[in-house]
Order: sequence, then C-alpha cells, then structure tokens
Amino acid sequence: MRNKAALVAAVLVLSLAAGYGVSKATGYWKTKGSKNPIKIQKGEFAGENDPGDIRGSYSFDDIDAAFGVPPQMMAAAFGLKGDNPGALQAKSLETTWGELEGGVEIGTDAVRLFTALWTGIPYDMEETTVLPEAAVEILETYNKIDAQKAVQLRISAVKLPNAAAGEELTDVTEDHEVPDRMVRGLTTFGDLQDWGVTEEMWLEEFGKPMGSKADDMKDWADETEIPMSEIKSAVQEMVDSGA
Amino acid sequence: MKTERWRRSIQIVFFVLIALIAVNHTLSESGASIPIPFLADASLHAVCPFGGVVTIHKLVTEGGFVQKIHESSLVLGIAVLVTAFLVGPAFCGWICPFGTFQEFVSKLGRKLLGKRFGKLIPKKLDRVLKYLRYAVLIWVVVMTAISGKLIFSDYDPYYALFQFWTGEVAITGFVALGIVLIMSLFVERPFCRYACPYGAFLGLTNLFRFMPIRRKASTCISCTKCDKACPMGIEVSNKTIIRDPSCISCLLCTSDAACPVSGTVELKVIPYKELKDA
Repeated sequence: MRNKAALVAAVLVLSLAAGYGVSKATGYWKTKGSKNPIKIQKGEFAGENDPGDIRGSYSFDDIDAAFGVPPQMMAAAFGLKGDNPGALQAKSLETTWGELEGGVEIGTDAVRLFTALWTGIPYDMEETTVLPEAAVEILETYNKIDAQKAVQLRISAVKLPNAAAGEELTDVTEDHEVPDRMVRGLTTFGDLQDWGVTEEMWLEEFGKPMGSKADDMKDWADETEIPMSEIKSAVQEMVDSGA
Repeated sequence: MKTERWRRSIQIVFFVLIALIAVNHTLSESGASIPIPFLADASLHAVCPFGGVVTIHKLVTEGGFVQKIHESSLVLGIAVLVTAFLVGPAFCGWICPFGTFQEFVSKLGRKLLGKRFGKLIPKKLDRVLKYLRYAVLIWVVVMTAISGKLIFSDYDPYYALFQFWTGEVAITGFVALGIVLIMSLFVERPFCRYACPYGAFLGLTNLFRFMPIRRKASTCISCTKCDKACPMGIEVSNKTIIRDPSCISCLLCTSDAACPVSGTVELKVIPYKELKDA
C-alpha cells in the first residue's frame, strides 16, 4: 500500500475490530463486572464470597444476592432513603454523604465492613474506614456483633446528618425480627416501663430521672453525656431481672 | 497533507466516541443511556486498553481483574499491542483521545507563542524528563498489583478530562489535568512525553517494530523539517531508522507530510541487510 497513512489507519481499525469480533463471537467480550465477588481461597472461610471484593458498582440487591444482607437493612444502616433500596449502589454513599465531620468519608469500604460484620466473614478494612452510628446500632440489635465490638466500633462511628436510619429501622424490623426485649438506642422509655423498668430503678442506677415515654435512650445518652454502651448494659440487666 | 487528514479524521472519531461513552455511562447510572452499538453503557475503564496491562499480574496470579477492569480492556490491550508490533505505538498518535486533546491545546499555544512554542524545555532536560514515564509505569504496575485497585485513576488527567462532571475524580486528577493543560500551551504532548505510563509501555515496541520509520540519508537534504514536525521532539534528521521509544507513529515527519523529498522519510519494512548496515 503506497498510502502509508491509510495503511496505519487500516491496521488500527482492523486490529480493534478483529479483537472485538473474535472476543464477542467467543463470548469473552465483557464491559461490566459479573457482580459475583471472588471466593475466599484459604482458611476457615474458604469458598465463601469475599466482602473485600464488593465494588462501588454493586447495588444493595447484588450484595443481598451474594451475602444475604437485606437491602432495607443496608439502606437503614447508611441513612439512605428511597422506594427501592435494592437499586442503590455502594458508591452512592460517597456522593450522598461526601466528607463528614472530622474529614471522614462513608463509602464502599464501609459497605464491605458492614457486610463482613453482618455475615461474620473476616475482612481487613482500610485504616480510615468508619461506620455510621446507625450501622453499629443495627449490627448490635441483630446480634451480629458482641458488646465489646460495638464499643470498639462506636469510638470511631459517625453520626450522619439528618440520617433516615431511625424511621427506616422501624420498617426494617417488620421483616427482620428484633430479639425480644433487646435494649438498643432506639428503645423508648415507654418500652422500658412496659418491660418493668421503674423510675426508682433508673434513678438508683444513673442518678438522673428517666426521659418522657416517647424519648429514646440514645437521645437521653446524648443529653446526659453518659456513654450509650454503659447505659445499654445496665438497662439490659434491669430489663432481664424484671422479666 | 493527506497523512494529516487521515490521522485527524481517526482522532476526531475516537475522541467523539470516547466522550460519548463517558457521558453515556453517567446517563446509564440514572437509567437513561443511549444504546451505542457494540459498547452499550460501558465505563471509560472498560474501553481503556491500559487496563489490560495493569491487570496482568492479577490475571496471572488470581485469574481475575483489578477493580473496574473487565475482559474488554484486555482484548483492546492485546489488539493495540499487535498494532504496536507492526507499525509502532500508532494508538498514541492516532487514537488516544488525550493525545488529541493535548494537540488541540497546543494549536492554541502555537498561535499565542509563535516561534517560541516548544522552546520552554531545553533539549537536554527534555531527554532526561522522558525517562520519567518509565518510573510512572513501574509505579503504576507495581502499586496496582499490590493493592488490586486502579491506583493511577486518582492521578490520571485523561480520566479527569472525561469524567470531570461525575464527582468521582480525585483532586489530584484535576491538578494533573491542569498541569497538562498549561504545559500543552508551551510544549507538544507534555503528558505523552514525560508521564504517560501506557505510552512508555507501547514505546518499547519501537525498538523492534516490524515497520519502523526510515530516513534515507542519500536523498536527505538536511532541511530538518522532520525534526520540527515531530510532536515528541525526536531528532529524526540525524537517524537512519527511528528506534526512539518516544515515537508515536504519527507519520508527521514522513515524505507524505513534512519531508519535502519524496521517498526519503517513510514507514517501511526494512530489509535485513539494510538493518544490519544501519
């Protein structure tokens, strides 16, 4: 070919077209991930899906399919609202919440960590990864983590601005049963009174009066500056002794 | 000027295609994508052949791809490598949309600076700085292998240019884009010359490509028009066969473009005897 420019153009276009054509014909051409996380290769959890392989493009439905974390639970944990929580993508957290107080970010790695804790599959999180307070609350409520782990996570947990977690959690609990008389941040003083906790017991334990029936424990903890973890264990004992 | 017409046409087609893919991917996330034939709502990463290079380690050791890279990147990477073995890194000179972008900006630079364009960086320093892209290549490949993530996308001005509206570009990406933009006003293809890891990788094929660019010394009139035309600053006029790793096979130095003597600077299969003599 005398026209070298045409030759180079032809070589480029034909190579790319041939590459595409052959790979398409053989079924190899893919421009999207399969949404199937890789499996853990070794150790006690060999063969399990690896939460560390969750990508930002995974929707909550994808995560549910691979790990069995209900999308409503995930949305509540990360303070997301919407009619179709399953369609939300892990990476949407970064754009929804941006940089939070203290320069921390809630992103895909937080979803990996939450999934790992929910499933009990180990995952080495990034050093900067933190969870929202609501996520820790949910993990503890559903007995996915023990009290010690909850305390540890609460140290770095962040409060999401105008988080929808509270109201969403109510919906979530309709489908996923909360253990009977489990004390949690969203438990109200009305609940506690129904479970046998009296004003006297409360005063004796904390030296401060109970809140009104509609107030929840978390708000009371914030007001009195008593750590939620301390309140929870003490109140759980009161509830258990009165049961 | 027929060489330049061919090249410019291909460059524009691929620039528009990549811009369309980038916009379409954003639209697809809100459920409103346009059905582009062959590519659907592919991401920018899915159609970048460099992904095929950085994922090699993970592919060999774990049988998977690094995050955001898919089979399409590997296929395109192999196709581009085949072309590079034949005619050199023509991908850089003819297809890469970021190379095209730099050329557009440099056109403005030429208008603003006139003859001072391209004189900002002394030749000696230019030669040294050209090794930088190999350091970038090694860093990118090693760090991607260690982390399993696309480390370079946070610093990639190409990614910043075609994704600036998405909120996914790191500040370092914007800084890199700004630096390249400003430098392109003073020097041709600054990113390709000094920092592009894929250009560094493909450039190595210049050392043994099947059809190199050859300067016929017997008919050369030493006008140095080939040197002035080269966007990568290669001194074509003092070489017989261009094996410089910076060559991007744009053909602007050849007798079909800048060289005024027919058949003097050409893309050509070199006979073995001539290779030995060279």
